[in-house]
Amino acid sequence: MVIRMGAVVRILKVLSYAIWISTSLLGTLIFYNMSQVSVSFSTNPQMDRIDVYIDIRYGGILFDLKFSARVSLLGSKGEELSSDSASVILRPGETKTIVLTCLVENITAISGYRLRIRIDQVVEGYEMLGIELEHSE
Amino acid sequence: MSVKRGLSGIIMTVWTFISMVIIPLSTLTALERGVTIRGELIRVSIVALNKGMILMLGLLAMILTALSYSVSEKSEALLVFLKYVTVAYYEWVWAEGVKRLEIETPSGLVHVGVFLGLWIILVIIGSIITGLLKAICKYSEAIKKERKAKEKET
Repeated sequence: MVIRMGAVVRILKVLSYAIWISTSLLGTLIFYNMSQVSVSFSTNPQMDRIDVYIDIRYGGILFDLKFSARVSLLGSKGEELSSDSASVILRPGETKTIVLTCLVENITAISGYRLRIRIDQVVEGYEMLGIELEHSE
Repeated sequence: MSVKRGLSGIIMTVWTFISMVIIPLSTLTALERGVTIRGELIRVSIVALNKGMILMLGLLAMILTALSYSVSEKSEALLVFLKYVTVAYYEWVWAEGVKRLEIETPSGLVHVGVFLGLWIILVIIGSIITGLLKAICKYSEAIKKERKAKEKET
């Protein structure tokens, strides 16, 4: 009974250390990678639409990054007039541009916007940790 | 020996409450009041956090810590495991809470969500395994001591 318990303890110890080390390392790496994302926005309003350019630069290491963005144009009562969304996967060191196009019938009806972005650290195809930001004006 | 155990029991009980309730909740209160960064006041509030549950779980972990130092080693094993399960649930409550944060800046309100996903599940599994490991160690030590005591008697 005692010998069996000793073996169980050893297995659990190894498992516990493995999980502890992997979560600590993964956590540190993921938070480092998340801090290595820079995003810049620019808009190009036209007669019937507004193009939103989002430049994303990912300077992280080892793991891929999933970047999703959604732009909504709002009316005077906060209603959604038009929206567009897209998502891209970036490899470490990669830079990509997303173009979101919001079609509008009457550009003067737009009184605000809502921007929602989400960045997820992708490890072996699984979304390990993600941060979502939403800002409206 | 029992005095030393009693003292470490008191210290661990107080520390459990401080680390699980007082430090996190007072940090939250300070963030809600606002932090000045580069001359700008920024307020952070964790909207979805169940503070009552945090307090309850902290109290429960404190009680389990106190009890684990005042019972036999066999019972201590179970209490230690229960404490780690409580801590695991406490971590889950935090992970659910940080899914909805509000950051108030001079330029407007930003809604932020931190989704700890698979990472927090790994952390929680780690906590439960550590608890299980400690409980098994305590239990096997208690059995060894019992066996030695029986051998001495015979």
